[in-house]
Formats: sequence, C-alpha cells, structure tokens
Amino acid sequence: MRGSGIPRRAALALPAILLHRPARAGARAFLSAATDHAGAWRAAAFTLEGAPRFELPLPARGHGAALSPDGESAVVFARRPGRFALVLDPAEGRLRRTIVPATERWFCGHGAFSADGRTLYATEMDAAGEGLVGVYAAKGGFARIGEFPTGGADPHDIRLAADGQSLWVANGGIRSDPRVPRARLELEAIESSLVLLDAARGAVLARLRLPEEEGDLSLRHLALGAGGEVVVAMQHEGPRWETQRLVARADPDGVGSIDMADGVLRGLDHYTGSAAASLDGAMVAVTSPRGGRGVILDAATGRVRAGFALADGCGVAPSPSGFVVTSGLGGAALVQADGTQRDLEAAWLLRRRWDNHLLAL
Amino acid sequence: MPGRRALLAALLSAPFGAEAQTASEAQRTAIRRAVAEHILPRHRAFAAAAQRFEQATAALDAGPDATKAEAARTAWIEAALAFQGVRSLRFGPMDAFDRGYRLAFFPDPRNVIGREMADLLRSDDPAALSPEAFARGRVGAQGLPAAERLLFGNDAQRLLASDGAARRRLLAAIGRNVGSIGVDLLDAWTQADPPYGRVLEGMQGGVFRDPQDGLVVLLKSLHGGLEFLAERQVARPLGASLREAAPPRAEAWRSGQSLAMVQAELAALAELWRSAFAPMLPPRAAALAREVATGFATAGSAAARIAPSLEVAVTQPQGRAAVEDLLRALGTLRRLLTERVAPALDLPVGFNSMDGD
Repeated sequence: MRGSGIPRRAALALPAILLHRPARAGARAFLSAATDHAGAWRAAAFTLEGAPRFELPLPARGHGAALSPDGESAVVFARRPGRFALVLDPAEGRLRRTIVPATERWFCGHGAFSADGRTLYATEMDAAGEGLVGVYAAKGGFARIGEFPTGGADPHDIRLAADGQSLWVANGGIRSDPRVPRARLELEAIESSLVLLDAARGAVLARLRLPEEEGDLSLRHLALGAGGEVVVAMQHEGPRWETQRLVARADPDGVGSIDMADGVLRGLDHYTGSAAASLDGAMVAVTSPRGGRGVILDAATGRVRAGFALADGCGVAPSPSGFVVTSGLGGAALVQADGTQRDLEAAWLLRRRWDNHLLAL
Repeated sequence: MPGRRALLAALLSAPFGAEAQTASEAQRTAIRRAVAEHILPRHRAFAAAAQRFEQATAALDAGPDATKAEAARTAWIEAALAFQGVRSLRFGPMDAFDRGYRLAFFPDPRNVIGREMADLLRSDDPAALSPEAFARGRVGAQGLPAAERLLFGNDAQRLLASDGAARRRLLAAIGRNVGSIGVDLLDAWTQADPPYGRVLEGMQGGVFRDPQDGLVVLLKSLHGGLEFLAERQVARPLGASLREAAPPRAEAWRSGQSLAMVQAELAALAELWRSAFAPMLPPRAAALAREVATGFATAGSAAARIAPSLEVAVTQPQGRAAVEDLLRALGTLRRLLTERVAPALDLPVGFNSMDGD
C-alpha cells in the first residue's frame, strides 16, 4: 500500500464521509477514483453542478468502476495489478462489501454487470499475466463463481454487448508480471485483440485484431454506440516518429482504425486513455491526457465531429448536454456535442486529482 | 532609502501576488541548480568522450591495427556511458535535429540499423559519408549502436581485414557525427544566445513562458528517463518468463555494456533529482524526500546485485530476481514522482498523462 497513509484495514473500516451539504441523492452524479494533494486515495462522487456527493477512502489507487443496471450498486476496481474491488451504495457511498481477488488472480481495473444485474464480470490476470474474466454472483454476496480466459494478455476494459448476452473485452496485449507491478515487458511484441465472449460460458465468439502494420497499438478502452458498435481507445507503443491512428471501431465482423486529420492525431500524442458514449449512444468521446485533448466522434461512422482541450483530462462520462471530463490536475469540464466547453465551477473539484475514469451514476 | 525602487518592485509584483513570485523564484533557482550541477557537467563529459571517440575512430581509419581498434573500443564504451548522463534530457537541444535518435536509435525491433548499415557498406560511397550528407542521411546508422556493431559485433574482426576499409570509413563517419553532435549539444547549453538553461527559465515569446514550464519539462525528463530505463533498457531482455528471456534485446549486448549503461543512467537520474527537486521539497515533505532517496538507493543496490551481466542475469532465476527488484524500485520511483512529488511541488504534472493505463 502506498500513498494514503491510512492502513488498509483502517481505510476499509472507515465509513464514507458524507460531505457538507451533500447533494440530493437521485440527482445525476459521477463517480471516479481520485486523490488529494497529500496523495490519499479515495472514490469520490459529484453532481453535474460540481457539488460533492460522497467520498470513500480507498486502500490504494483505484481505476474504473461499474454500475448495476438497477443503479443500486457501484463497484470500484483497484488499478492493475489490483487487490480489491469495493461494492458501494452509489447514493451515499456507503461501503457494502470488499471483493478480494482469488489466489493468483489480480484485478485489471475494469468490470461490467450482466443485463439482469445478477452477475459481475471483472477483467483479471493470472501470475503469468494471461487474461481472465472473473465471474461474481452480484446477488450472492459477490462470491466468485467462475472464470474464463480472454485469450490474451493484459485484459483491460470490458463491456456488456448490445445483445445483453455477450461481453466485449479488450486484451491490451502488453505483457506484465503482477509481482513486478507496472513494469511493461516486451513492449515491442504487443499482441492486442478485441474479443467477444459468450457471457454464460465464456466461449470466444469473435477475436478481432488490427492488421500487422498496426501491431504497436494496444486496444484498451471501450465505449458502446447506439447501434451496438464498439469504439476502442488505443495507445501507441511504437516509435515516437511514427504516427498511428488511436481510435478504432468494431462490430462482431471486424475491427478497423479510424482515420483522423494529422493535426487531430498529433494532438492525441500517441495515447488515448478513456472513452464514453453519449446518453443516446450517437456519439463517443475519447480523451488523451497526454495531449491534453479529446475528440467527439459519430459512433455510427467514426467521423470526428469536434475536439476539446483539458490538461491531463482523462475521465469522461455522458451528461444530458454532452460529456463531463475530469482532469488529473484537478477540476472538470462540461463538453457539448459541438466541442464547446466550460469548467465546472467548484473549488472542491479543483482540490481533487481525478484518476483515469469517470462513471455516470 | 527604500523609496522608489521598493515601490516599483511592489507595483510590478502586485498582480502576481507575493506567494506566486516566491514560488516562481524557487523554480528558477531549481532550474539553475540543475543546469549548473547536472546538465552542464554531464554535457561537458559527453562532448569530451564523443570527441575522444571521434579521434580514436579517425586514427583507426588512417592506420588500422589491433591497438587502435582496441583504443576505439575503449573510446566507444566511454562515449556510450557518458551518453547515459544526457540521454534523458529529451527536449530542446536533444530534440532538435533528431539528435537523440541519431545518437542512439534504440530500441530497434525492426533492425533498421542493420539494414541501413548494410546499404552504406554495400555502396561505400564517400559522398554519403561526408559529414553533412551523413548527418542528414539514415538515422539508424549514424550513432553509437551502429558503431557498436562495427566494433564489437560478429564481424568486428573484419575492421582490420584487408577488405575492411568500408567498415573503417563508416566507423569514422559515425565518430565524426557523434563528436559533432556532442559539441553541438554542449554549445546549445553554453554558447547559444540565449543558452538553453536561460530558455528553460521561461521568457516572453519563448518555448517556456515561466520557470514552472521549464521545471515541468525537467520533471517529465526524470520520469520519462526512469520509464525508458525500466521498460526499454531493463525489461526488454528480461521477458515475461525465464523461457522468454532475450539477452540480445539488451541495449549493448555486443559490447557487454548494457548493465554499466543502466547504472550510469540511474546515477544521472539520481543526480537530476538531487540537484533540481530534492532541495525544493518543503520541510513537511521530509518523509517523501527520504522515500525518493531510498528508492534511488534501492534501485542502485538492486542493479549492483545483477551479475555477471544483464544479458546473463536474465537467463538465471537468481539473476532475474535482482533484475525484477530493480524494476520494482524504478516503478516505485515513478509512482512517487507522479503521485506525490508533483503535487508536493505544486507542479501541474498529471498522473493520467504520466502514468495512465
């Protein structure tokens, strides 16, 4: 454990801190992992007006989160290689349960619920770095009831497909060893893929890869458009002098990268970190914290509609008027479909450093 | 009399606020410390070593014999180790004219270096080896890795063979190129108007607006250097398992200098930390300062346990454990920089861009 200064047991025993004048539960809110300037990790939620809803200490750095279809449970996952997932009440942030991974299994930072909310799926890795989907009984105390392989190393984002019966999983393909956290091995031999798995049995329904000349791309984050298409946010791990596309679109028949103007692509600086679909699923926003920029695409065509700028902006989630984007330097912005943006004016938002992902509650 | 000047100073500083100005001055001081105690001495050392390498390769080209070949090998090692002292400063002078890539085209998974060298050796065209044409030509064949192949590779004996003239000429061209890049880098930091250290402090219309911008670049260089060291110089030969260990993916397996280069770079990064950032941490961050110092010490002792070489260590369980310890220590240092040092110094360096997922 690092950074928080709060022993793990104590952190988990602490109740959620309901902030001054908490926002009314039921108002639209957003959940993200975050830290303060002292480096204490927490899960934090705020409203569209920037008002804090709750904060809950985390034992270590968090990453992505998933919301049950009935909105009754949110699960915050540890950053890979992760040793915890916290189930919390999304209205008040009360900790309901801590999920500890199985022996020789590590969380990879993302998860997704089944359509009926009875099952939670989490991307995990084994000691050799190979990818698995851990299956948990959401209505049965989140007991681990099974697992199936993802057919690749470094599984990352996971989404329930439009049919409600299969799962999209991005195998980032960068080898790592959970016992040597964060060291990426064999960066020149990335084997990234996007797989569609049968959610009931884990059978591989489709395994999609980019062409060999795009072999330096790691497919990592996913957003689902209204037509069931998947938009994939990618990282380029090849030489810096090469320019590679950074966003792809996929359906069960194939995956292909999306062309963008050179200037737009350069602005994304070889790295996109998060993706989210708009409420109607017609658009997808993709962020690049490294470039301090983001783009909004038509989910159906992949056409770039607009761009926006936010230093270290990464977390992104849909709002009624477009998207909310959070910054690792503190603060958040509201971005509309045409790219116009304004900062969410709230001092509290500026005092938190917002981590990679944002979930609309 | 504290009359007009004090009043003027107060008026000038008023819009910024005393606190911001103090912070800005502390940042300027940190940049000046880094330049004086780290950047300049390291560039002087590299320029001198690069020049000795240029002379040694020229001497070998003029009168090939075993002694001169050995002297060129020694000079290559010194230049390669000195380069570790400056390679992480990948902005400004190192970025200009692709100097960084021209000095060390690494990693090179597609064997660009081998193909470009083969082309140059096959054509053996004096025009292509003229300093101007060579510097503007193929990037992979211009630098230290290409020279290492000629001096230490499987065909190194051919340097002295009767048909080895093309190899000696190419080596001498690399020597001239490395020598002149070394001088150009040093000039940019010392002779240019303004010298690059002044640019880092920020100026109107400059690349950096204020000292904070310059200090951010130095912090990113430190973090980026640790990442490159871990992922490209150390983790590459390690592979994901013993079975997947790949000694020839180490940066300098032909000369056997990979580990020495790792240690030299680690020492340079620790020096950048000590000169620029450690003195800036406020007293309340004393524990953090100790953690970073311990992190560098742990990395150093892990590197010292790697034996007999990085290439051999990755193929043995015990050796792999030491290499993994080094990676862990480097990972801890990177985390400390992004998650705690940047906020403690109030520098706008985000953890999403520095250490995303």
